[in-house]
Amino acid sequence: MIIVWLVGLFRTRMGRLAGTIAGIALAVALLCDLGTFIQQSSSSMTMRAIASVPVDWQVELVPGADLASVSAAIDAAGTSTLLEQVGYASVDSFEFTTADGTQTTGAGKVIGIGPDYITHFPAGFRMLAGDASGALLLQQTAANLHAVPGDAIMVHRPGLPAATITITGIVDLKTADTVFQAIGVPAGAAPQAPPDNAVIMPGDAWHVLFDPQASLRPQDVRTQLHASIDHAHLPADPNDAYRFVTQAGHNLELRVAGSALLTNNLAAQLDAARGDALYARVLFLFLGAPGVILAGLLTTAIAGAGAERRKRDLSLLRLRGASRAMLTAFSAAETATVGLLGGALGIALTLVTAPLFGQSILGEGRLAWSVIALVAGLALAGLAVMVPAWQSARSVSVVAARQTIGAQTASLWERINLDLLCLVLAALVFAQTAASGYQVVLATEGVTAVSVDYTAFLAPVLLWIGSGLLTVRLTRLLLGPGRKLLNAPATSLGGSAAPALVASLFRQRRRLSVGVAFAALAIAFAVSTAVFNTTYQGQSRVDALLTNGADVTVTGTTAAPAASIIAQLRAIDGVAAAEPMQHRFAYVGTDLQDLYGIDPAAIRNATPIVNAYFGNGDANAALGLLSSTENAALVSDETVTDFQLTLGDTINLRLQSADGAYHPVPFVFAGVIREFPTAPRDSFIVANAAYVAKVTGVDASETVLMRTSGDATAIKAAAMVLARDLPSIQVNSLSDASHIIGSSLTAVDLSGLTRLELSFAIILGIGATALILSLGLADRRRSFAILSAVGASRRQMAGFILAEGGLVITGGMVFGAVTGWLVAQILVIVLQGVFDPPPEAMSAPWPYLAITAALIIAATLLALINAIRDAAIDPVRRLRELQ
Amino acid sequence: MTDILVDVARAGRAFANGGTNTIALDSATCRVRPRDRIALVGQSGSGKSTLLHLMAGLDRPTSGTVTWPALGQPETLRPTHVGVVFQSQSLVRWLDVAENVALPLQLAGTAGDARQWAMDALERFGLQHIANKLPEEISGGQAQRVSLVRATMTNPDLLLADEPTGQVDHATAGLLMDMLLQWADQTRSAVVIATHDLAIARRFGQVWHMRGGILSTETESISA
Repeated sequence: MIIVWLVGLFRTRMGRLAGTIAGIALAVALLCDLGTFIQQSSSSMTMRAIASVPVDWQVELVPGADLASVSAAIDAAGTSTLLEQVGYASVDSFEFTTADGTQTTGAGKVIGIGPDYITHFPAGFRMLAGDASGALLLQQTAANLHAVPGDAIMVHRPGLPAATITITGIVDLKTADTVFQAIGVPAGAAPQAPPDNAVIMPGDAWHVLFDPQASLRPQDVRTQLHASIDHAHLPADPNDAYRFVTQAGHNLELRVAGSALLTNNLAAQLDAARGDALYARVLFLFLGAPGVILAGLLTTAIAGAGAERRKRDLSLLRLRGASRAMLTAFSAAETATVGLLGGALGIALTLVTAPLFGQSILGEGRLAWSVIALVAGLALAGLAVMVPAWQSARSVSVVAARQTIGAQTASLWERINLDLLCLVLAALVFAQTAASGYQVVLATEGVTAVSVDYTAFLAPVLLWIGSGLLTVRLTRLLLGPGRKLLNAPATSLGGSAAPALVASLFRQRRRLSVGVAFAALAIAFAVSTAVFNTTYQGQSRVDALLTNGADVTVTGTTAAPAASIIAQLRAIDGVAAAEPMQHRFAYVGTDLQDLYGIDPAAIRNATPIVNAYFGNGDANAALGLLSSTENAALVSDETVTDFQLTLGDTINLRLQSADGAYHPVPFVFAGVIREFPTAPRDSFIVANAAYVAKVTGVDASETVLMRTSGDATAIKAAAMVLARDLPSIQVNSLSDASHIIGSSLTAVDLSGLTRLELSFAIILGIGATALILSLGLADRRRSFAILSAVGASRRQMAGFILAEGGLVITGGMVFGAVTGWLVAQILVIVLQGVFDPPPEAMSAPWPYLAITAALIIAATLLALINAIRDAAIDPVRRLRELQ
Repeated sequence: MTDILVDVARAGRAFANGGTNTIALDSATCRVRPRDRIALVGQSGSGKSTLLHLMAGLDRPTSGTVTWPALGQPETLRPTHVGVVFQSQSLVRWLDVAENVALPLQLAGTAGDARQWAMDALERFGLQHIANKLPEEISGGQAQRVSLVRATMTNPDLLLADEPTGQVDHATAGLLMDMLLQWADQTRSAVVIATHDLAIARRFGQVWHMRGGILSTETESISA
């Protein structure tokens, strides 16, 4: 019996069933794709974050500790794959005599590494000259000593005679901050400048030189164990990975208490990434969730489009003696059929389309999310088919089945003004979020627990719901009390039948207003997603520019500044502008900070300087202040707080002068700086380059920022050729910046997600307009047949159909565009933490929006034309078919 | 100038049903002239509705011809020249009774206050009390009477009614026919109705019979 019912359903209600199955497939596919995307992107964020860690764990032995037992403890505490012993010795100075004279440095460090150390921990080592077979001199030390590979330098050990080391190579140690950091405190917690002078030498030779020093002055010689953790065993999610690594570190600290100290670099790196990962999760959730909800609503609407006929079918079945249990069984069978078919179709869809959206078909999370999405699909089928059918079965009678138009009383939500309440609440939540400084994700450094302020997202959610309901209310007002406004367009469409046309719109205002709201929400989803993603992608470029400094950045040293070749750089074909920028260091109290010396009048020629960089939110004013006040300095918020600064205060910074020593230099605190091209995330200073040059006696500009109007890769290559004679020069372009950004959220390539969402947005837009409209029209073919039989001409029939279509598409477009724009605006503001710096204006992807609008209009027109053609079928045949 | 409203010449109508053809109307020939009063009687399935649909221009014959010499082409027949009352519920569900009744006037582009005229007509037929109700809020009999009123609104030359009293009691049916015939007399319209009710059929000048799709226009005596 059930099979007969199902076969009959598919034979006679194919359109509605196919629509319901398609809706479920869409919801299942979107949910599965989004879930997989979140999981795979979290995993890739973890991998990217830890890939740049030079040494996972640095364990320093206290003098006299047993090396073997500490090594064993490391093995026991974590899943370490590599362990290298590294010796650190402090020396008084290095000395080298050339034909020009003897060069002597200040105090320095000599570290001893095993033969495989560079192979095991390659990050940061860059050979500049010679080879790594023997002792390596740091680039800065080599410059200070004027030494080259093959030279033998003197090492002055405290309390021991000087020793000679033969240099085999010059190396640039990019990770010097990490390698030479203080051990036993959280990584980065007490930053100190790495030594200017250092030598890296083979461990055996190091022991020969420094074991005697260790006996004599044990405080000057340390032994560290550098360990690499097995990354394959780390949880995929950055927060879980952070917790795992932190707890493993604590375990080690417990095991080696009193004999060794740990600095957990891996945990520190994951600590920074987990906040971004949480942002990524909420970003995916709040960009994608409306799509899933919309697909669900669409499915219920498609299923509901046949409600009238379903009621009639059920009432006839009841009339012929079917029990409620039997009707429920029929509905359950229909639910299971459409749920399973829709689910299977949705999963198949994700498998086919995954590569298009940059996902791996069998990648991490695919299976789990397929199961979750399938279950959700079945639940949706129950909601769309089973629940209304069950309600009908409970109440249906032949008389009740006929009464579907009469009930035009206001819904409960209308009576309690739920739409306006939602909008007011959205405004209040938004204001509350704004008051808390948009701290949506709270991942306090060093604290394992993280929190996401999900209430912040109530603002866009409430706006979305409120706008949808308001659309329903306003449409009902237009079609109800305001229907006189429709007389003119109705006359142009229906001619003399305009009064009947307006009356028909008035009587169908409940159904039509829901149709308009669906269209509006679908279009709002497309608009908000597109605008947010475009703004996000645009901001990624700004972030990359901020990190790299400019389109192409040439970075040298004070001894070999990039600005020494600025004329040649400016002459490269495709370089629109090149401006010098000093990069020095300055002590603020005991805190060493980066100092950037700029020409405030010219810096903007080479790179964008936006309002968000400055505490006063006004780039023109801040740069103007620098121009007008020679010794003005812009400092970070943290510095202002730590040193209780007020505007106009004189601050004495210690800068390195031409003599190599640090001398106090007076500056005037002129404002707060939050971001600056190439500047780090923590504290830094921006000042006038001319003043810095004057007070230090060094006019070198270490960096050159270049704005390009041509191929940045070619310009980078040309700059590298020009800079080949400058030691340790670096040339980077924007494309390199995404690698530097590492785990930062804006470095996450959203293009896959964007393609996914924008594709679904178009499908949902078409579904919410064309599909719902055509199903609604198909459900009323009998009424159109009667109209035709009474004498309506084809033009008049078309007028009736076009009026409905025009209302849905126009209302949907207007309300959808406004809602979408507002939701995108709120999302951009609420997710300010995602953007670094926040965008100054929204970016609209006009081509995409135009194509989406064109596709939705075209699909709607097709649906309307089809309905008009259908209405032209002779009415007797239609009435006979629909008896 | 001819005065023939409908000229049915050897018209047949067959319906495909699976692999076979069902002949609903077999070579029917008849003519309707102004002021004709014709009752079409016959058993269910005898082809009465099919013939009325052909005469209304709602359907086309599969053989023979149907023409409207005094009225014009089929696409211009309704709602001005031909009014139709269907056997089944045929009110537009989203329009109230008065709007349904006014509909033919509006579709025909008749100048004036169509709703007021509809109210007047409803009053004449004693249906003014349901003027503002929706079709789903009235009974089947009321709906059929409203359909009849609607069909008369443009004062068509020919009114075709398929079982217009099928869902009303005998007394009401009689009353309804009184009003219909009175209206027809006033407007000089021709009326063709299909009916099972022989008492009603007797009130019409001509009684045509349908048997198995075959039309007989010879007026036969009707036994009660």
